[in-house]
Amino acid sequence: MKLINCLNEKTVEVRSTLKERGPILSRLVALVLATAGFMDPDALLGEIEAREKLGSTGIGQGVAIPHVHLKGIEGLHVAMMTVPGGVDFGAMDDMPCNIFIIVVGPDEDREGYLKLLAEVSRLLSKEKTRGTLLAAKTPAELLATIRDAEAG
Amino acid sequence: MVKKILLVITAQAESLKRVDFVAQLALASDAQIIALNVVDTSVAKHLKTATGTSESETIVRLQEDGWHYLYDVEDTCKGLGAKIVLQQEEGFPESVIGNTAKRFKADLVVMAYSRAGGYTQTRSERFVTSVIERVDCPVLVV
Repeated sequence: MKLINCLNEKTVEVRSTLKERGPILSRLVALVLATAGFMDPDALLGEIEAREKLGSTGIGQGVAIPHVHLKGIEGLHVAMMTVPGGVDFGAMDDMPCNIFIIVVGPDEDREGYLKLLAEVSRLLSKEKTRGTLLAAKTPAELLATIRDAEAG
Repeated sequence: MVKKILLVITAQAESLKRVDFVAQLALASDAQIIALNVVDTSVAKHLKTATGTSESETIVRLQEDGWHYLYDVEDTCKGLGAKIVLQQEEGFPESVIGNTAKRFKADLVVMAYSRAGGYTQTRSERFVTSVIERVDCPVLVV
């Protein structure tokens, strides 16, 4: 599963000026539901926040990947946002997070969900990719960066 | 009191089988699990010869497999309600584990031990001993 196939211009946002964890999560939920209203936003936000309470999904180097798998939804759903100013997301390396990707998958496809999380995490471990994503001025530029990174 | 448990995920069946135990341990002491996988990039050179794939392709595969294991472990811990964060690093595993334990001020390192016998078991013994020599906190071998 390629990340690029899970994103479109409606599910990405660049250069957000949000400064706090709560509004970031709310915005990610709104983005991931933008093209596929597969569940109630408040319910999804509750699930995402419950996961964050067990430990930050900030994986270091400025990247956070809030994620959850749920019963009764179909397919994998992803949204992405860059926040160049950075936000304290409680990551273990204490660095502010500036690239956020939300991943929502079905209980019934746990393997596909884990594979996509692994692909996203690996992709964003590359410093060059992170730099290009943060420099993107439009959703189209961000999507082009993802496409190039996955091709390379 | 144990507040931070560094769980070494060596992508071995042994480490995955014991996740439930570590999650229960964390719950009992209200500790946070830091699940760590180390991508041993030097292995890629050997695998290149064995598999015929390029070194960079092999590293990509190791990185993805590592994250896959980590998220698998996280999912199990989450199901039990244990607090967990994930870390993946690259380098010489024993050194990375030692440095990570110090950096995150781990109170306990948990790692699996293979009882498979033969070379695998000997290698596992050396690995465990080498980690013990590099960390300041107790090491629990399961």
